[in-house]
Amino acid sequence: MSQGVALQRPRSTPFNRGRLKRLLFRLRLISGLILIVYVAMHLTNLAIGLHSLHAMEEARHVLLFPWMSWPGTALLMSAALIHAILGLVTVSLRRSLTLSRTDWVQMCLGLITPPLLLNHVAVAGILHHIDPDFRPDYTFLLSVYWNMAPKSALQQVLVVVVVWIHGSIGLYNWLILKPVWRRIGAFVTPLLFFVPILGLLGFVRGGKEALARLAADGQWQDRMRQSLDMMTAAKPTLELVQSAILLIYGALALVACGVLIWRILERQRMRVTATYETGQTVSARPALSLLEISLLNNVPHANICSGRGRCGTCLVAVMSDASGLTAISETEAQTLKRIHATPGQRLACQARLIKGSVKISRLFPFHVDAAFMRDPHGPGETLSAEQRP
Amino acid sequence: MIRPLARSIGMIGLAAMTANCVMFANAALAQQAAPQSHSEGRLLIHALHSANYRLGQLGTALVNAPAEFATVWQNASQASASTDGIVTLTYWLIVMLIGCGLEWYYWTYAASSMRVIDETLIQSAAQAFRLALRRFVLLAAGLILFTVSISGSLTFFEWPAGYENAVFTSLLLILSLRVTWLLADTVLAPGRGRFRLIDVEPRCAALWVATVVAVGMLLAISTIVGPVLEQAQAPDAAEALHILTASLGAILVLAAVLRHQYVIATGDETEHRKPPKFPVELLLPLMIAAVFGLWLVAGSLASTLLASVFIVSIIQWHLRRVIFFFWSERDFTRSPGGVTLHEDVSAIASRLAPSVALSVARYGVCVVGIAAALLAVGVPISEVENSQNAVTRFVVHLFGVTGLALVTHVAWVAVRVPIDQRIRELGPSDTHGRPNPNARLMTLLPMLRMAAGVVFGLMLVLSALWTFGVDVTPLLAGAGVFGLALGFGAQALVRDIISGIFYLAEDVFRVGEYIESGNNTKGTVERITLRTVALRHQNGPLHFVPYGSLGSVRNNSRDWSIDKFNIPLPVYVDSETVRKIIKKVGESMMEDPEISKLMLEPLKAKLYRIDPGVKIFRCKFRSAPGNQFEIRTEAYRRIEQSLKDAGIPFAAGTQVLINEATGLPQLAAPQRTAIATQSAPSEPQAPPMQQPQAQLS
Repeated sequence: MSQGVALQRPRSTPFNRGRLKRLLFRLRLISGLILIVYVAMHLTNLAIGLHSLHAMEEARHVLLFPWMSWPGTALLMSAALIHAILGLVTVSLRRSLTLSRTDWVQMCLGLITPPLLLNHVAVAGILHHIDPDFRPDYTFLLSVYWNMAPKSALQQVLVVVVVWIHGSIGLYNWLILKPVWRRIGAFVTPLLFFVPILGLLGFVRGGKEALARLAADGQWQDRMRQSLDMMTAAKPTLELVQSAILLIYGALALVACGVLIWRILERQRMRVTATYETGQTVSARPALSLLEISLLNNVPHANICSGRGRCGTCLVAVMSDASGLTAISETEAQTLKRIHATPGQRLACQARLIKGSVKISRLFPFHVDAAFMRDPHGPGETLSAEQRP
Repeated sequence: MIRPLARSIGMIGLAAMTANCVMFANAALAQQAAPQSHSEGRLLIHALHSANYRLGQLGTALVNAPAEFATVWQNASQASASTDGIVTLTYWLIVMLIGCGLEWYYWTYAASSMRVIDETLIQSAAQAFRLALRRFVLLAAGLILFTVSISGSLTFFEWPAGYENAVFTSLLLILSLRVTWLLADTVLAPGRGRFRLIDVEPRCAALWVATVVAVGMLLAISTIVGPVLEQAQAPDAAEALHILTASLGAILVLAAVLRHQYVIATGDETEHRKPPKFPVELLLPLMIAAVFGLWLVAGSLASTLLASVFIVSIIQWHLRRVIFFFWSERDFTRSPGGVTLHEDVSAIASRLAPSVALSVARYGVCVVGIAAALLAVGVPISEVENSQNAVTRFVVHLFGVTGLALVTHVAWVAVRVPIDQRIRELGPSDTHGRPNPNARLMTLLPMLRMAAGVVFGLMLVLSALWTFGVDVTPLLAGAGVFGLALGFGAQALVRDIISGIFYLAEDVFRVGEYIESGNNTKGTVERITLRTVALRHQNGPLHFVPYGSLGSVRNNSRDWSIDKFNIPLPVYVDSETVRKIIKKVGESMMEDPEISKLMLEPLKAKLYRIDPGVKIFRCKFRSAPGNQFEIRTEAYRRIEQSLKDAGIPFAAGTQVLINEATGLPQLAAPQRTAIATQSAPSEPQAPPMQQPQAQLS
């Protein structure tokens, strides 16, 4: 924990560090929510292209207007920046690769998003700041993508899916544990599918329409040429900006991955052991959370939120001396309180085993699901250590 | 007992398959070669030439491939960076979104079931098998949902012309990857040793899954992308792709094999391993090298045939272990790598289901191997049935015979395994020991087994002949007529056999019993055959008595036997005292563990007759048959001792003569007896008229 967290301030009492971490996670969540709302609106706008290009343009003034204003742009840009940086920080903060499958997908997609997205952001967002006369609208952008720069179009199509899947995994994992999911789940789940599919279809439909217009309308061709000249003029600057951003991002990503690899490889020789209520004893390197120890050793251990400390399903009762475990952090304390845990119980995803050995008893069966944990009465039904066989 | 048979049948199947392969390879070679006949040497030279030619082709392909790849790549990127390309990618992504999304939605429900399976505590092999299947069904359902939704949404879109191929290719690759992965993961269960279906070393499971998936993927790429490249006017690139995938596959498999052997070797460091009689470890790398080498010089046809022969041989070699694994006792705890096989193969082999499964599996593997070889050769399976080609018809018939042999063998196993098991339960027959109460079964069961074997064999031969088109009706009719003639001629023989069956069925005698037959032969039954019974006379000679002339049988070894013998005592002894003394002797004999287990009723005595000067007591006991003689000896010994302790002499055997002249007895018998017991009789006595001795009754 103390190593490799370059971005944390070294005011290091565990409490403050935990608080900082919590703040970072909260920030990442909020910025992610802002981003996914923006992407959803953007894709909805594209989906309107299924009706006509004109309708798309009209909708743009409604749907994307909030983001075009300067507070909107500032919010969006800062959210994107914060989310990207905090994403890398999260990667570097991992202690092991015991991710669930969806987490793997989310992490990889998140890592490749900035390079894929950069081109689009540059043309649609930054160029306008370089040359104030450049006012891209959908008809222009679609014509460019479908006629002049098909490679960028491929990239755009790909990035829509990448960003959307990344975002929906995050949104779903966050919402599924909220009591409100029971009311909104039935609406949100189909939306997660329809928004990108309709957006992509709208992109195709609008592209074809733009191509038709380009072929038919001579006046439009002239305007296109004019805009393209503008783009060509601005291209060197744009590319400079792009490559600078890419370079910085690449370096940061490399550092994050390097830190991650180093954290995985360090202290491989030292071992700590955990004994379960079944009598099974497993060992792992120190400073891993109890949940990570379980997952690394193929011990079934319930975890719905994949070790984010949200769900409480990894709850364990510590049956032996707990001095080898880390202290209870703020996140853990809150979740423990929410699920009415008794003293001596810990969240396996938050309690890390620093040294020695510990004997624990898993309190939730492996097959509990989110519905169980959402239930406000659920924690009352927690099996106590005595009730478990 | 099953083992050599089953293995030999497996080997026969293998041999048949090898023969098939060789035949087809020859046919294929002959097709390539000029139609006129070749001598052996010419053929060899021809093979060398073709190998040389092929190697040259491969070299050319490798040289030309980069340029062709570059062209193909350029064309592909041009094609994709176009309006149609964008449309295709968009639709493709939508299709994948639908497929993956539906599967993900399925898993939001199915994940809990999956976790239930993973956390279940397993008690038995059957339960582990069921759970593994349930796991597979859950996973497969997700995959099927993915496939169906993808296929459904594929048809929904109007794909740009010329791009369908790329879409289909990519989807096929994805599907083949997923299917291979699912199967390998289910069978080998890396990280979940409790669920594995094959007894592979748990530490190597992940390695093998990775190898299987990678090789499967390479194969898929080679077979799916290769033709696409050929369509794109890049034959050399396609050939280079084949070379690349084949070499990579060979290297991967080789690496996996070596790694596996390394893991196995380092696993049991504690035990000193005896070097094997044959360097088996070398065999697998050699096989891989041979297949790859053959592929290089002779192309995919020959190498596929060789590979299928090798694979079938390897599977046959391990099949017994694989099949019996389902019935083995295992450690189902979750300890990592601690899943050990309880090595009691003979116990498993003695059960019916594993043996049947093993034989079916052996055939199945052979048939699949042959089918794979046929597919590799490119024989159109659907046309084979109606083919006029003699060779093809022969092969079809061979399949039929193989099926028949399978059915026969299963029936045979089903008959013989219970019999063998029963025989094993009855224990080893000891012809000179006590007759086992189940000795009759010991004689009947082997006969039954042999009869079943003969019947099954005959049926198989006849049906095989019939399958090959040989008309067996005259044969059967001939056999019927011949049988009639033989029956008349061998009436006595038949009588012997029939009456033998009835003797055995009615349980008249069993091996180890002492019998006397109607024609005065007697002895212990040593052997029972189809026609005769062998009786060992107590003096040594062995009588072979045909059942027909056995007549009425007197069985001396059934249930119990009663032995009676007389003890003459002087007439003056008190009968009641003697009775009590002998009763006490009987009780003491019952207390002796050695004797009491042979005794059914204790020794008793009663006054039987009073003769002049002699009281005759009759002793009687009931014992297990065949032991009466030794018990009687022991009874004599004890009675003598007891009487001696009680001061009662045996009747002296002297006769009191009344002298008519004097009217006085010459000597009172008791005194004489008393004197006689104290000192040797001083005067010769007249031979006794009645010898007081125990009488056998």
